[in-house]
Amino acid sequence: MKSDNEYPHLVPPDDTFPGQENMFRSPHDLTAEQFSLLAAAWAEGALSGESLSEIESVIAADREKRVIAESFRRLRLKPGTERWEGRNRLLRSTPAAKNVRRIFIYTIATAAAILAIMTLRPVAEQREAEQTLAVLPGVTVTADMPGSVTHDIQMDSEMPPAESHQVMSEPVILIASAEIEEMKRDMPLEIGIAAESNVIISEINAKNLIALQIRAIPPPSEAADERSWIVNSLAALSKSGTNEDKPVNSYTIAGSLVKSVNSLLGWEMELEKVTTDEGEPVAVNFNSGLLTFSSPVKKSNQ
Amino acid sequence: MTVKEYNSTVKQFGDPVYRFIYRSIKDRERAADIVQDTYEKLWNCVTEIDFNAVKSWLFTSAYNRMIDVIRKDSRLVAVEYYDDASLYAEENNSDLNEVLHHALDRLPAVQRSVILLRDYEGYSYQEIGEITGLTEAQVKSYIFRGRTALRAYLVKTSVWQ
Repeated sequence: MKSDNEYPHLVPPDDTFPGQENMFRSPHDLTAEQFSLLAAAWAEGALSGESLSEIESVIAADREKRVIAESFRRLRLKPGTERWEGRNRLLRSTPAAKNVRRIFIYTIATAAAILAIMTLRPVAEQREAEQTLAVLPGVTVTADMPGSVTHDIQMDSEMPPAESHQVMSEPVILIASAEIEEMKRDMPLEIGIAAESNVIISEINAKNLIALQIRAIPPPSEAADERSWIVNSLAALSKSGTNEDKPVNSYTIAGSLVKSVNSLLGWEMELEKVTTDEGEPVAVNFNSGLLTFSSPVKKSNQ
Repeated sequence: MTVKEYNSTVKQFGDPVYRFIYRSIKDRERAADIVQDTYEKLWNCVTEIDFNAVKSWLFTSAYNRMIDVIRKDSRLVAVEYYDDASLYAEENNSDLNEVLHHALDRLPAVQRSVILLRDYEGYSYQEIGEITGLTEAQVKSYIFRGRTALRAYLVKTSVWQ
């Protein structure tokens, strides 16, 4: 196989480009667009060496171009004040932080429950006492006065309407029997469980009467004890914590729980009872890093 | 990267990444979605990413996600085109930074992004190239052309004579 050198070779002629001299350019020949691009790079500090010296020679020679070049240095965007609204939703909790948060929530919820009990319990007890338990066909509650019930018993047509209403001041439970017995009484009928609350009904047509059974309701104190099982439970816990056998009120329960939370978590919640000079409590102040409030003490809640 | 470091990135870089994306596409809702997606992605590989490189990672991921969104939604591309009425309505605006942002909205998306990364975050050409997938020479070219266009806008709107 022949080597490449063994073939004939072309020898370039000694031709010269006649207009070569006209093609040379100086930095001052840059077009406006070219200068702008170069000036932008200069303002960025991106030029070096020969490029830098070339544009600086142009800038030094032409004041207008210097102004243009320097104007690029002012073209800097500054960040706005836009904020990413959903940023906090993406924060992740460490296990320790989750536990602390959980304890904190439980504590706040407990404190709120205790305070709700302290505040609302007297009101609830008062409302409960106002409720009546009378149940009877034909009975209508017409009076606004708490504790009074009007029994609207259907009477004979000849009876004056004014006599058909009797007031019973004590709450009773009345249960109708299955059979209605034919009977008629001309004498006044007396119904009641206490002398001061007797009800006198006269001239009643027996056809309209039904057999009644009267039961006394339990004393209000027992009902209140059943309702306050939460308070009783908390009182028991508080007693076991303080090892004291004296009666425990709501303030003692709340104070004991606050103290427990403080000692458990190292927090500094405060529950303070404000008293008059005679030692009579008038308000309870609660203070923590997140919540501060004052609740007046009702006498029934002391 | 630890959970604590991750949360630190949310606090430290959440707003800058959001600003970069929002200024690029001019759509708050989509910008928030893109940044949220980016952080979800970061969380999924939180243990694999070095905290020191996370800023660049966030901007890169957010930028790529933004490009995907722009390709899928042609409406977002339309932000590059403004009619003359809006252009001349801003003539009397004396706040240079605000006018510059209006001018920025007229730039092509790539130019806009590289200038934002340069001015907002101070990234080098090389870092911007890594984020946007461009060469350093391309980044320089886009930035210089973008600056020239911004200046031309200011001159045209008589903010600069």
